[in-house]
Amino acid sequence: MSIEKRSLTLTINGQKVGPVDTPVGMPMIDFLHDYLDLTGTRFGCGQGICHACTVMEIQPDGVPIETRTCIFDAHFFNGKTLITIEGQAKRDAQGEVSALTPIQQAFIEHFSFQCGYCTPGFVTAATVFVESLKRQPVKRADLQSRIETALNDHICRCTGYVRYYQAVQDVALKTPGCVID
Amino acid sequence: MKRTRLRNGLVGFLVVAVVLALAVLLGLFRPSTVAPGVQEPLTDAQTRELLPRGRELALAGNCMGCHSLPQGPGGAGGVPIDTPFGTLYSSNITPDKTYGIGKYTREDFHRVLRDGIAPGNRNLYPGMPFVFTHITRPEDIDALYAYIMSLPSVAEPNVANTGVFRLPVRPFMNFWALINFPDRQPPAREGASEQWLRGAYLVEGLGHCGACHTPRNVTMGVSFARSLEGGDVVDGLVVPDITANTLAKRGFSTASLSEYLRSGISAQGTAFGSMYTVTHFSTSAMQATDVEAIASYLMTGKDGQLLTPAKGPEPLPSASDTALQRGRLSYMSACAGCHGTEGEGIPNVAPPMNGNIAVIMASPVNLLTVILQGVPTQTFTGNQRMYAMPGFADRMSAEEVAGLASWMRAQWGGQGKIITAEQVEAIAPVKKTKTD
Ligand code: FES
Ligand code: FES
Repeated sequence: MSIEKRSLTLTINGQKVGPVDTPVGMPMIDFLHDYLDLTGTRFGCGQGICHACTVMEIQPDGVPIETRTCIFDAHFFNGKTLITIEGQAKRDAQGEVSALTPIQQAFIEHFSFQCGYCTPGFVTAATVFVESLKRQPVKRADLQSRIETALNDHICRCTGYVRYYQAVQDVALKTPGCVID
Repeated sequence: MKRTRLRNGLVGFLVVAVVLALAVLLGLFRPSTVAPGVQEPLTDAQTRELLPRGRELALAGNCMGCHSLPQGPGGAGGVPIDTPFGTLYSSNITPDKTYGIGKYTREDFHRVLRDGIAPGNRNLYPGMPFVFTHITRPEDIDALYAYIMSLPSVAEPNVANTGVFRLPVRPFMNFWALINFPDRQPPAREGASEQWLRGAYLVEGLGHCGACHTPRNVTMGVSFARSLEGGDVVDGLVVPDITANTLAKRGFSTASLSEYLRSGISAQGTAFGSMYTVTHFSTSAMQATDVEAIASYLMTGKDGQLLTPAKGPEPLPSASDTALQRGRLSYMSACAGCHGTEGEGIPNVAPPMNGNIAVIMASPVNLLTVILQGVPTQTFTGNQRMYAMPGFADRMSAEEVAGLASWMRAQWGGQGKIITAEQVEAIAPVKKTKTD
């Protein structure tokens, strides 16, 4: 039995990918790992529960959302725009990381992660969350509970939640226009 | 001469009609049907003895399910029931003397369950399923009374009803009752087993399965002639047919149906919508023998024989049509990761689609609603759970959802009718417009 393939085209980290023949039923995370060698996206449960495999999808209106790559097949993202963990930081002409994002920086400063397996997912979730605050600021009193809701789906087996949440709070407070009194 | 007679006749007829209408309005056709002897209060010893039975019956009736807010104190009421005429709120049934039913005598309580009439001749609206509880035996009503009066009192005022129900329309319920409140008896059948009798008594009475599963007529009365045939819309979902024939056709046996009622999980899908409340709070907490009785009654055909499960529908040839392949590919890309390429599901993550009632039902409403709106994470008996399903209303176009549902129904539901984008949009606005 031959493997059924379909042509796939999408944009990942600002680069056009494809058209490339990709098996029907291949999860996006496998496509990232095996076809593009983007191995920063982490495979945890493979069942949509741990959210380690979360990447950012930029919707046509420019608004980023989170999306899991283990439960959706690569073709689910045909024509769409994704940003994986490799596409978060700024890079120089040689492709070397030149500046981390505020969220990445804050995670390091707060010693938020231990083994780091869940971190790409947390970076994505926190970035999407802070972006949402720029569009719709939150009252200072509600910030903490909103962070908890926003990151609630993400599981950290090393249980580093508190430092993740503190780091996100820090970024939200420091970014103009995110928090109102 | 002739005209005078005609006029007199007409006047006479009108007078009789008005008198009759007044008699109905005053409730003269709704005399008390409570058992003799319930005027005596229960003794403490009787009360103590009746408590366990009352608890089991209250679970069977899921009294607390309707009379408690999810986060609120048990039995304090306040749950909205939407009707085309306004919203009714369930009442406080704790023994609080001011806000609850603490002042109800044993007889008052019997009158409510038997006749739907509260103290002061206050007609209850049929949101309270008294057309079902009517058949409850006096000793069981006593048990419920003993149990409910033993619950902690909650001083929570009742929420005022809205719409038509704000007006003084309670007396008019007597007209409703005249058409819609037959004097039903506990079901009986020649040679029936104890188990069947118990199941029938619970399903047709306190369990009030028919309150949702039996369609209602234009006046919102229960169409008992079409018992358990489903088809009405409750909370946006079409109620499934649960007649014995249909249950068997969908692959249920007495054993698997009672397992479903006890756990909320079956090969035919997991309980969601209002049925989740039923399995979660009521049937999963009931005694196994009672749940088995319910299942065996439901699985008994008209001829009194227990029906056995049939094989599910085979894929229709049209599932392989070119026109439906887009739908299949949508399934492979958006759904198969959790529900499996063969629709087999993953235990404790996502229910199977192959054999799922939402896919098999003639109406596509439930399938489309779930695809568009998703289902929150749900926990089930024995630490089981189903992980949240995301809604796809803002991630797929109406055409994609329509194609997806059409293929799933042809593949696993035996339903060849093509779903249109309009049917999808009728359920919820779909954000994404362009298909890729
Ligand atoms: S690996 Fe995707 S959610 Fe766990
Ligand atoms: S840092 Fe180890 S799993 Fe989160």
